[in-house]
Amino acid sequence: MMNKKKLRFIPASLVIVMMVVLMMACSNSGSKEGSNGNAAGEQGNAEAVLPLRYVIPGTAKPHSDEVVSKVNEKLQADGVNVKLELKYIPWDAWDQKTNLMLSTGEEFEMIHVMENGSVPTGSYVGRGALQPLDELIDQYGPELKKIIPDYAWEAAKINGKIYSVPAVWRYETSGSGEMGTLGYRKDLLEKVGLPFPNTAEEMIATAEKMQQAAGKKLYIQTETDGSPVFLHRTYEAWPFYVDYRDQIIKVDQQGNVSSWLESEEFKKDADFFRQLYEKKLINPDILTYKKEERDKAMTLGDFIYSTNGALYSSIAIAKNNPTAKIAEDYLSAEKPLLQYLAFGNTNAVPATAEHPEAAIKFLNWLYSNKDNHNLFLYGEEGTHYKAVGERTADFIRDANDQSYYFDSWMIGNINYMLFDVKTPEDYLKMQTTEPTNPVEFSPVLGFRLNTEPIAVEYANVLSEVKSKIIPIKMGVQPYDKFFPAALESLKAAGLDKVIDEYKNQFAEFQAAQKK
Amino acid sequence: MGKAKLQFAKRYTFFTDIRKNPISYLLVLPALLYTFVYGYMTLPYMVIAFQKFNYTKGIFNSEWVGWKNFEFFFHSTAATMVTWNTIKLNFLSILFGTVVALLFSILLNEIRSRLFKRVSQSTLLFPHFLSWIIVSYIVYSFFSTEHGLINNLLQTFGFDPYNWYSDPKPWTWILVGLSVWKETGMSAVIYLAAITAIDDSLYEAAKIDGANRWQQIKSITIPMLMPTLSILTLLAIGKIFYSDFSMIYAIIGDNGMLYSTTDVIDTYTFRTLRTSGNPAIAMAIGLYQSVVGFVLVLSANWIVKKFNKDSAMF
Repeated sequence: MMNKKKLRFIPASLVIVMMVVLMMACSNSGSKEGSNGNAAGEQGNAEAVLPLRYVIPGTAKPHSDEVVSKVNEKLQADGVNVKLELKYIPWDAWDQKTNLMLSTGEEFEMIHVMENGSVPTGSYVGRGALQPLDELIDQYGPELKKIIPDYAWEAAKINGKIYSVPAVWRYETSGSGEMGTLGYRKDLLEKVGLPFPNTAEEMIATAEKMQQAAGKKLYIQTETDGSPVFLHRTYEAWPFYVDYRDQIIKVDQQGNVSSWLESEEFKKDADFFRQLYEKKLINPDILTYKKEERDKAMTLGDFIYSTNGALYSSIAIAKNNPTAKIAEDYLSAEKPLLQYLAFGNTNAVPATAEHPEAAIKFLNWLYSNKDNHNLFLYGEEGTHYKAVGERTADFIRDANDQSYYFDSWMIGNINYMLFDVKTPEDYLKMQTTEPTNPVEFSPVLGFRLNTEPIAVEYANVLSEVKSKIIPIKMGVQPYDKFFPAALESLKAAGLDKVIDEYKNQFAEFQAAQKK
Repeated sequence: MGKAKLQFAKRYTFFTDIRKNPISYLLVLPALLYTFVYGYMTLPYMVIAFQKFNYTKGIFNSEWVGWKNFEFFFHSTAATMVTWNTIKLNFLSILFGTVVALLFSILLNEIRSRLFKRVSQSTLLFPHFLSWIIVSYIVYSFFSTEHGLINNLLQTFGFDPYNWYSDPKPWTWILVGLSVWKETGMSAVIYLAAITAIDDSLYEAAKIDGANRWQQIKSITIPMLMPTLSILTLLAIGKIFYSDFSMIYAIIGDNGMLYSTTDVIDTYTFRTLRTSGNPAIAMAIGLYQSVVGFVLVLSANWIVKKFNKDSAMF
């Protein structure tokens, strides 16, 4: 009996011992790091090499290590005391993992931020996850100021402070879902002998004929979590802004904020997609259809129209489906484009970074000339690529038919970037020349909603949008029958409060701009 | 001296046990460490459920907000729906999972051909090792409107194809069926192990008394399996508030049409927090799940104790 009682204490005491040991281990490593830092500091004064841990989405490209060590050699040779290290996080874990890294105070110096993704800079800043960079840029980033245009810097500001270094890797008005660009199979349109449509009705009519002509069930490729800007262009109210991913807010060119889902235009969207759904012009399982499947269809040229543009996959299509000809155009082509994003991609410095200057020093080095930029993005000339002409290169493939490149959309600069020599002409032109379409700027350009005061309502509204609105928006459920109930639950979730908060913050933003 | 030594040897302590079976303890060590680090070291972080957590300020300096983080969930219109779905899906999975696993373990035990037994056991176990992502593609190939196996089958027999992914009703049973299919093998192995441990003399005695196979199963195998069954069920009930997130997220994904029967607390939380990225709210919901789960385990254990004292966990 006595023994049994004693036995019970043993696991408990063991746990305590382990806890103590673990804590000691933790604090030990901490103090070690500190002393290391000191030692380095004593040795070479300011010349201690600072780590630059760059956290990015995706998986490592082939030969990545090779190139990173070349970059580090060049950094050293150029007297920049920074050592680059890439930390890839798989796409499906990106949001969760980065959240976790930031909230637990894991140390790294630079993170990629997607402004049109689910967590834009404003959202990070609202959580206190990033640090302002103004002083650091003044001190360490003279080249940054030169190469990145003022409008981008202006848009990188939150509460008057710069929180990230924008990547100006494309002309913001070139083809994309946000711009309302329609990609299409030019060969199919030619086959049915029709001109590119101007109205929504014409688009449906051509799509039906193209689907028949294709001889195989091809669809209009579209995504559920993006606003159909291509369609909005055909409305009388154009141009107006709808928040692209969340699809809650509408802002017209006079700066009037209203509820997008309650608008006449949203009903028109739903009715249009209902027609597409009933005529089987979009995938009947559109709500379940996975992104990978859509991407695959795009690379195979298996579509009639694509609501995100299509030239971006033209290299793959040229290889996979040589008969398919791809082009991009706009419905109501005579109307202007609406630009509401100053940039889509940017790089920020987490609040936890002890040496934030490492990030700025690195970016300053990267953007200071074409050689540095291209070394990081495309590797060593001769080993990883061969320059062909001004803007094109032949990316050398290894034994596994793979070549090195770093995704230019994360950090590239349009002035330096190189393009695959096999890029179809249309696509190369799109990437290297500024579009000539007339452009209007939305009053929301540079504005960011801080969702922090309405966090609960915002999260609940988004959840209701996913479950009740998306099926209506994609035409799976008819608007007339299902919308009233959906609106009721949106109101219950706090839609009005969200819109009011947007109105208030936007009014403040506009007032501050006028000053 | 000799006497003292004898006394010491007699005291069979935890440490002597370690000394006697070092390898066994070494085997337990990783699991012990894992539970310790993730189960105990993380407990202090629960405090953020009551804070307006700021990344820069950390857990010691963030502002205290009391129950505010819980409002997000309990004020939402979906709270009752997702709580109900969670309990419903888990209850059905536990019920059918246990019955089917029990059935298969008894059937497997009755098989005399060793080869057939091995093959069927492995076949049963196989789905356990598939990831839900892979299963989700298999499910899609069954239920897709255009090329789905089931719709093709329906069409061959002259029925109209059915748009499975836009009707929430069948999905309760599809999900329960999948979870039973995937986990039966693993539970059956555990039950089978318990069956093998049953004393053979019991069966011999029963045979002498003229009991047939069915009577042996009914009066020996099933009663002897009860302790194992009640422990496994207790463990499952403790997790009744946690759904198999990877299953539901992989199969249902962002398809809002199916949420009315399939959306559970975990997927709801994940979806809403993916954008707001507020760990404090996530922690609040996690805490809610844990507390309710804990209460459920205690009450289930209490009920088990009422019926059979030996089968209870504590």
